Amino acid sequence: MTQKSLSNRMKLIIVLLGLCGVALFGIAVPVIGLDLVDSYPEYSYCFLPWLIFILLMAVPCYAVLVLGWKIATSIGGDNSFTVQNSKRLKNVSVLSLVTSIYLFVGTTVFLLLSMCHFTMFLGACLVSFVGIAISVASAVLSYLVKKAAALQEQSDLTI
Amino acid sequence: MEGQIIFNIDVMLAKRKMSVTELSNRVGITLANISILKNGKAKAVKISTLLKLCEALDCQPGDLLEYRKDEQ
Repeated sequence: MTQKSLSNRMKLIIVLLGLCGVALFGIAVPVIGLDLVDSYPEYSYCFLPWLIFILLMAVPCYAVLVLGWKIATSIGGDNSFTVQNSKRLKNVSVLSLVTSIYLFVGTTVFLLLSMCHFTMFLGACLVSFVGIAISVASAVLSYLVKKAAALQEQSDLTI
Repeated sequence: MEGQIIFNIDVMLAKRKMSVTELSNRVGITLANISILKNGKAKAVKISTLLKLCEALDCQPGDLLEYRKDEQ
């Protein structure tokens, strides 16, 4: 597998994730929400706060996809181990952590306000845990890429 | 107080009446890398590279390398 093909595959995955995000945030969430409102009109007041809460989560998700695209581009250009990529991975880690905390805290608040079912809270806890795992993995990758960048520079400047 | 190691390649090239391009071809390193050596940006030099430079320029390592203290 060449660097170019690896980069192209990464970009394809990112595009597909982006499209999945559009389907999820743009179609699935509002449609499911409206269906629930139809089925349980007494909870119609919950629709808008939940919709805003979930749609706000799209921002860091797409920010991570943009960072991933930039990393894929640099991999394709044979610049895998750079300080810039290390910083991008660190930003991915921070965004994942912030999103996970936002999801957990937000769902907890909704639960306390009786605007959320306990199973949904458990589901949110699971997603938060996945987000934290991604955050830790990105932080580790960031550190390793930073070390590799230092080694690369030393190697490039060894005549 | 850190000093620096200077590569006096220009001096030896002038003495041997050799061009940088010819040196690059003889030693087998690129012009860019020779420039890195001359500008003091190199982080390390392989023994094999130093050997090839000495062979090409018919000199001792001491003729090429100079230690200069940083004056503050």
